[in-house]
Amino acid sequence: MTKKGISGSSFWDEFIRKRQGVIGGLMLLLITVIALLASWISPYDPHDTISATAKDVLAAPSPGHLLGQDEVGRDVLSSVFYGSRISLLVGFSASLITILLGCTIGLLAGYVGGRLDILLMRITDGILVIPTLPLMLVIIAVAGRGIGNIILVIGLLSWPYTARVVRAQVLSVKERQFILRANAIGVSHFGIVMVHILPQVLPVIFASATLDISYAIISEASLSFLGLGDPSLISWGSMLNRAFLRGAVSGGAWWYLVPPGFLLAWVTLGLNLVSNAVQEIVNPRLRNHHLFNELKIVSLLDRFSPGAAVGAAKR
Amino acid sequence: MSLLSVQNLTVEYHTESGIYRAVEALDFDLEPCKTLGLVGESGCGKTTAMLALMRLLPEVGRIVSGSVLLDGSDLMRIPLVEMRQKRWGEISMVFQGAMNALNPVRTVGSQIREAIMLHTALPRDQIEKEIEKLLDYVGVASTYKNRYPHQFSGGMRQRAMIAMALACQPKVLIADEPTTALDVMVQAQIMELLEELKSEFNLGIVVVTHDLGVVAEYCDHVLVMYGGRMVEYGDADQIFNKTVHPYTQRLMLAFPDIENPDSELASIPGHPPPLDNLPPGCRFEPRCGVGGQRCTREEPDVYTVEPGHICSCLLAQPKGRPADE
Repeated sequence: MTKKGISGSSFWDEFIRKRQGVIGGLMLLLITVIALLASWISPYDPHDTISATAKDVLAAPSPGHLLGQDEVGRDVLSSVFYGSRISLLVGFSASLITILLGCTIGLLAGYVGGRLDILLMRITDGILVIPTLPLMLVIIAVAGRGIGNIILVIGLLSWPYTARVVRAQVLSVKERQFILRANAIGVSHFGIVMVHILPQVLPVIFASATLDISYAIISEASLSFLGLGDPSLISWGSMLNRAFLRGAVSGGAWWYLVPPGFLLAWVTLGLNLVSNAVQEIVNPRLRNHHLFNELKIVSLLDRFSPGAAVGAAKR
Repeated sequence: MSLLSVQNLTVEYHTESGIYRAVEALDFDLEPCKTLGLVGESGCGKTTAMLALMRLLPEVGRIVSGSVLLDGSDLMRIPLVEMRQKRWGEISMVFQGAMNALNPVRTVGSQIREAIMLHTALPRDQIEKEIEKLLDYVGVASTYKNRYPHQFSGGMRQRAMIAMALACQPKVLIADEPTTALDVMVQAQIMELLEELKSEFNLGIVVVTHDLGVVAEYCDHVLVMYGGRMVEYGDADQIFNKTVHPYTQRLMLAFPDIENPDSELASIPGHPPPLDNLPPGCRFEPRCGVGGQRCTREEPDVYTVEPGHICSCLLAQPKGRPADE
C-alpha cells in the first residue's frame, strides 16, 4: 500500500491535483471560517433571550432575518453559524479520541500479536457488533447531557474501525525487512513502532480520520436530534430537534429545517470528498488504472462480450 | 583461535504443520581478514543459519543446539540484552535485498544514525561526521545522507547498507546475497568494496551467495550446504580444483565456463529435498546419479579428504575401508 512511502510534500502535490479533494477541502474551509468567525459575522447573538412578539415566531425570511426566525424569535442564520462551532468541536475532539485509541490499540495488536492481539481484537469485534447509536443514547441518558460526555461517548465507541485498519496495515509493515534490520541494529520495540511503523501507517490513519470526523458530527447531530444533546448549546442537531418538536414542520417553516440539515450534509460531503481523495492517494488499488479509462472500457465493451470486458477491465 | 567459531548449530522451525530442521549440525570457523563463502541452492538453510548466528530467527525458529563463539563468548547463551549490544557492535549483517532493508520513508543518513546512536555515546556532531565518513568509505557522496532510499540506485543502496553494517566497527560481517539483483559491473564493485573493507577493518566476512563466480574470486574458504547440512568445506582451491562431493561438482557444471563458453550448462534435475520428507540415506542421493546402494540407506559421515578439506559423502571415505558393508 505504501510501497514507495508517501512523504509529506508529494502527498500534498498529489492532493491538490485531485478535484474532489480540493472541492471537499474548500467546503470544509468555508465551514471552519464560519465557525471561527461566528461571533463576528452573525447578525444576532442567538443566546440572547430576546423579547419576541407574536409576529417574530417562526417568521419567514426577511431582509432583517435572512433565514427567518425560530419558535422564540431567534435568528436562524445566527443559530446556524453558532451551531457550526459545536459540530466541528464535537467532530474534531471525538475523532481525536477515536484516532488515539484506534491507533494505540491497532499498533499494539498488530505489532505485539499473539494473545494480546486476540484479546484486543475480540474487544474490538464486541464493540463493532453493538449498534452504536442506541448504546450512545443509553449512556448519555445515564451520564448526563453535557458536551463533554457526548464527545467522550462518541470517541470511545467509534475507534474499532480505525483499530482494525491500523492493525491490518501494521501486520503487513512489520514483516518488511527493514523492521528486521532495525531490530538487528538494536532499536527498541517502542522505537520500531514509533519510528519505523507509524510513519508507514499514517496515510491510512489520515484517510480514516476524515471519515471519523464526519461520523462524529453525524452522531452528535443524531443525539441532539433525539433530544440528548447539550441543552445549553445550539447545535445543528438540536435546532432540528426543536424545529421538529415546535411545529416547524407542520407550520411549513422550511427556513428553520433546511439550513441545519443542509450544512450537516455539506460538512459530511466535504469530509467524504477529502477522505476519498486521500484514500486514492494512499491506496494504489483505487488509483486510476490505465484500463479504467472510460473510453477504453467502452471500446472494450464494444469489442468483447460483457463477460470478457469485465474480465479485461479487472485486469 | 579463530574469530568466529560455529559448532554443531542446529535450527528448527516449529510451525503448525510440523517441525522442520532447516539447519543441522553446522560447523565452521572464520578467521579475521578472511572471507567465507556459503553456497547452495535456495532453501538449503543458508539464510536461516546466518539469522541464527544473529539470533534474529522468526518466532517459529528455534536454535536446538550449537554454540557460536565470538571472541570467546557464546552468542547462543549470553542474555538477550548482551546480545543486542554484540549484534551490530561486534557482528553485523548486510541483509538480503537492500531496497527492502531500508525504511523507504526515512533518509539513509538517519537510518545509519540510528545504528550509531544505539551503540555508542558519541555527541551529535561527531555522529554526523561518522555518518559522512562511513558513506565516504563505501563510495557514496556524503551529501547523500539526507536523501531517501528511492533516490539511490540499486548499487548505492547496497553500499549504504554496507555503511550501516560497518557503523559500529564490527568484527564479523555477514553479507546475505550482497550482489543479488545488481548488474555485473555493480556486483564487481560491491565485492571489491567488501574486499577493501575487509583488510581495512580486519573484518571476517561471511558471504552467502548463489554466484560461484563471486565465491571463486573473493572467498578464502567455501562451505557448500545442501538440505540444511554442510556437504563440503575447504579452501577455495580445494573446492574448485579438487572437488569431491557430487553436489559441488554439479553446481559447478551449472555455472558458465569462461574458457568453454559454448558448453551446455547442466542443471541438476529435481529440487532440494523437502525438509519434512528427507530421504533416509544421503540427502542428495535422489538427485546424485553417482551413488551406490549404500547411499540410499546410510547418512554419510564427515570425512577428511585432506587437511582443511572435509566432505560429507561416502565417496570421500578414506580408502582402506570397505566400500560396501
